[in-house]
Amino acid sequence: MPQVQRLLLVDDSRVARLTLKKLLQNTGVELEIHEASNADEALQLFSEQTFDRALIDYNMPGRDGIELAHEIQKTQPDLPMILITANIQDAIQEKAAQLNMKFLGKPVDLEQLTQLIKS
Amino acid sequence: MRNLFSDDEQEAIVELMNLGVGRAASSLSRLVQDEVLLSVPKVEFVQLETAEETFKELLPKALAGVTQAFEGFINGKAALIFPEERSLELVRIVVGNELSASEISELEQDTLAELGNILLNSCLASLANLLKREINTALPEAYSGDYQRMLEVLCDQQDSLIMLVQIDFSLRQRNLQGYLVFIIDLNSATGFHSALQDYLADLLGNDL
Amino acid sequence: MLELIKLLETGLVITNSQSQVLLWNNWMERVTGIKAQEANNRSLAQLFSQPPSPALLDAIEQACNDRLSRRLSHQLHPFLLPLSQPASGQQLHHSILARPMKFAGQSACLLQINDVTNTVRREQHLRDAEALLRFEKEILSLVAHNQPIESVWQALTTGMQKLAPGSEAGLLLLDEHSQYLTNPVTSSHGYLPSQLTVNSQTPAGAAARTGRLQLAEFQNQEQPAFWWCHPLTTSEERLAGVLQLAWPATTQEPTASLTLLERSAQLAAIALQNHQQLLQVRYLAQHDALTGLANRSLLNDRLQDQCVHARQKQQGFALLFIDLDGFKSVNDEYGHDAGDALLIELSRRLQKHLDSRDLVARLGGDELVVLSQQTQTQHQAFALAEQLNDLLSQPFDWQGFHLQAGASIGIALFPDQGDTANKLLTQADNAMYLAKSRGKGQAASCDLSAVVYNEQNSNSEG
Repeated sequence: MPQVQRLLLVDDSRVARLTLKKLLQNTGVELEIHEASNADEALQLFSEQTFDRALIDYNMPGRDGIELAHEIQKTQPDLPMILITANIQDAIQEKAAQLNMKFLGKPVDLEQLTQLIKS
Repeated sequence: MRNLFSDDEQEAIVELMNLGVGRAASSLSRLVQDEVLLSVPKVEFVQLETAEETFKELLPKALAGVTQAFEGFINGKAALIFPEERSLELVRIVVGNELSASEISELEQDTLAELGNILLNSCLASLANLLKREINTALPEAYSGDYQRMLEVLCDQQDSLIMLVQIDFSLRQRNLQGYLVFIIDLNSATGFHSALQDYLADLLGNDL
Repeated sequence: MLELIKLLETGLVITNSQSQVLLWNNWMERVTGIKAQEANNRSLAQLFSQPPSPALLDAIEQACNDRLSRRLSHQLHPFLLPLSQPASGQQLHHSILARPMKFAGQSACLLQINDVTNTVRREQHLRDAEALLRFEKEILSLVAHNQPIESVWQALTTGMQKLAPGSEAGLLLLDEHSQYLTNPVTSSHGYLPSQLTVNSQTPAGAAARTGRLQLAEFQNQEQPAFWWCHPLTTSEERLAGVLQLAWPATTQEPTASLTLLERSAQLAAIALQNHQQLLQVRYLAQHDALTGLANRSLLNDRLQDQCVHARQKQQGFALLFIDLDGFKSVNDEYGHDAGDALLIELSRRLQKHLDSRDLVARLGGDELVVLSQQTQTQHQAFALAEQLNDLLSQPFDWQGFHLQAGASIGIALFPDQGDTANKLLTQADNAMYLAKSRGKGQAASCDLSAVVYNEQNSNSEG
């Protein structure tokens, strides 16, 4: 892991991104945070630059978080990704696990987030 | 009405609803042992006169379900709605009753009311918790009728300024669709407003 | 206010968030036997020997801490509190409403306990009635459409097993000699026998012998079970079989109500009677009303089958066409009643003499046909014709009269005289005319294509 982690945050809600950014700043990990508000934007960014990790919301208009992760894995199969959602159903956790994504339920717990960001 | 809430506040409402419904969906999913698919919440601000038009557009003609009143920092009514002919299916999926009388029974009515109660309480409680405010919920009541009557049930004041939050949900393996609707009376919106501002201020710190 | 609460015919309890009782009304005293003084300040868990449902404790906490109202329905929570009916001691089904309130200045929860025992019972009855209705509809529709009786039995037993979970349903039908009871449906569990004798010391045997319902414990195949055995009768009140249901001996009560089982037995009887009527109609369509012999339709069917069978086995068989000699004069002289009586008597003689695999048919008037499987050569056929002629020409005493006829018999053999039903019948008919032309009491066989006559004197009536 490089000194400063380049991290892409994908969530359609600005408030949700703000909430997460605030939490990320409190993890004590040095981060460079980039944002996208939907799957298309995220994929555009991925085609232009590289990231060390992606935090992806599940419930978004257009392609959802799982579909986006699937798309990203086509070019970057080993990118660490975290699915973040308030929808904590077992079925969705299983979908994340199938793509080897970590899972984080909203409201996000700082300790859990820190652990995942450091791993 | 647009200027009643800023874009950030509106986004906050959607996100808070997302959080509440997510919890609710998870408990529902355990009960029905199926994945619950949720839409992104739609938030609309409507006058009572235009609300009817909105309802007509959003909902099937004949409805049945559960309504539940709430009061506290926000006042209003929440509803779990199904197309009328499907309202019992959720109960039958949960209770697992293969044999069932063709008419809705008292016990099933009661069970449907409880299922609505679980979902709506979960949404409202998480909203209140996140905003660090208090909300009281009343007992759920069974409801059936058309969208006009639904509107009458949901808004009892003629001059209601309402915020309509709608979330569509369905089950992945079974053909069942329903709607969660929250109607918040904005005549007493000051409490809601200040709660949202506090929430955002806390979130943004001094960056705003 | 408190006085009013005492009068309510519903349970009212107020607790704090730790579910400690702050108020306990009279209804609760009556139903639990716990006095308000005893209940006060003790938690629900302390008051009952069985713990209250966690859902109830959650609801109390939510009401007190989060101010949320909760409805706890009976269907989702069948055991909220261990309550029983004061009179019968049976379980008191209930639902609970939990509401936040302030009591003596602190956050509390008001519990309203509603007795839904009657509703539960009523709806159970409704469900039972509906299940039964569906079951009846299914069986009666199968019966009305004259579906094969096997499929009716299958649906009946499957339906009964659905109505009485954990049990096995089966049928035992009585054979024509009233000796054996046989199950027409393949048994899925191990309980029910596929066959037993009427005299067997089993509940089913007893039901068959006495014609009365049996409900008894009985050990079959090392599994002790409870048996419900209902006799089935025909429309003439004759015993036709037994409908039975068996379930593990852990409980004496079947999982379906006895009324429901009774109705199953009625359905089985309806199916059975309809089946018998169907057989009766089919019999009438295929038999001669006067003599009970097969008619032309049944003869044709059997003859066609026999041709196919004989072709496969490469075996011959014989068709004997009989025309009674002197029958017309019996009719003329003694009347039609005498003629009918003679026909009945001669038919009886033929059936008695012939092998059960053979078929005797009446084509009408005094024309009879015998289809004999075992008769495969000309020689055997003429020998049989001789026996039959002998049999038919024996006099018959009727109301003091001496009735007598004889027979002219035409013989056709498969495959020499024909390999189809039509050809054989025509050939036998032609041979009969040939025989008749040679004088009464003759038998003849002919092969018209070869114009070869083959005859033998059948040792005429004299």
